[in-house]
Amino acid sequence: MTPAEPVAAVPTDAALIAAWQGGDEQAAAELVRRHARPLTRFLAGAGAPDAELDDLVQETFIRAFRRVNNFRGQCQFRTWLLTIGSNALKDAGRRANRARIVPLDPGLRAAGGDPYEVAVAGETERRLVDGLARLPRMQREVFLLRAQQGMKYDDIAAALRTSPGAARVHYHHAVKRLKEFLT
Amino acid sequence: MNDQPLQDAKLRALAQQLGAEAAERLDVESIAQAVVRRLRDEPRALRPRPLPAWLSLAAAVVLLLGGGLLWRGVRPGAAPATALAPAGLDLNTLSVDQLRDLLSTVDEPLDVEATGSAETGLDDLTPRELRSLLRALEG
Repeated sequence: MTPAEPVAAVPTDAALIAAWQGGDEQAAAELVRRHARPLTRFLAGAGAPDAELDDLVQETFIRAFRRVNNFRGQCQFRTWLLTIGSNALKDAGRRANRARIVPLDPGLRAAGGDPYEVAVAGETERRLVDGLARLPRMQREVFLLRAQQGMKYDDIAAALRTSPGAARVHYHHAVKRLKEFLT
Repeated sequence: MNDQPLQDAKLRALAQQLGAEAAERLDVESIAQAVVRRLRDEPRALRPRPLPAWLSLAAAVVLLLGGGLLWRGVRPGAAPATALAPAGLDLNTLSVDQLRDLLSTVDEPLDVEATGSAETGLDDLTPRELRSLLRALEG
């Protein structure tokens, strides 16, 4: 019978960030392991094409580590990371539009078959993704942070630089419009 | 009425399912290693480091000094230092009094911090000295 090994305390995100700033590369890797899947779900919900998810996740982490000095614990690291992911997705969309030369109307693009839709299993989920694509960005982000990621309004508000009350209003508008779209 | 909370719960459940398959397929370890590699390859200057306290202090001092100098330069009543004499003015045609007047106006903004008065020195100069001084000021 082998003696039980002592349970190592799980380092907080803040501790991992400080360790990385001190030169510990494995701390950065641990932060990626911890947050990559929730980030992927958020990006997919926000309309990221399935084929670009890997690159977007990687790009989001690189941007986050570059700007980590700007993160002062005003919200959870994950919430902050997801908002960076949203910006990375927006930039990727802009580049994709430039590559097509003829910019597409967002409504047409949503109706015309986002590659992400192919990967989504059910018809309702497909329609939810369509509905999310039609929401204003703020409503979409607040909805995903709240409904998908389970973040608190205070945290969402701090990450998106708005008030908790405004975040609540954005969420309720998003829910109302999504329900209309889904029924 | 009871339908409302059910719909909200269903919507949340659907939202939680979004991207679940893609997240499962994600090769997290590969991404972690790729991110570390990219961070390692970046120039060291791009990597964030906490700002040393002495650097913040030095920056504050520089800003204060720079701001003070700038304020002194732009405050009302301070004539620009380049306005020495009207362009094209022939100094040989001016009288001694006109030369003294011109030098006085030139001296005022430049001599703000001088300990002695410029007026006393000018009175003692001959017309030739005054002309050569003005030419020297014109550059």
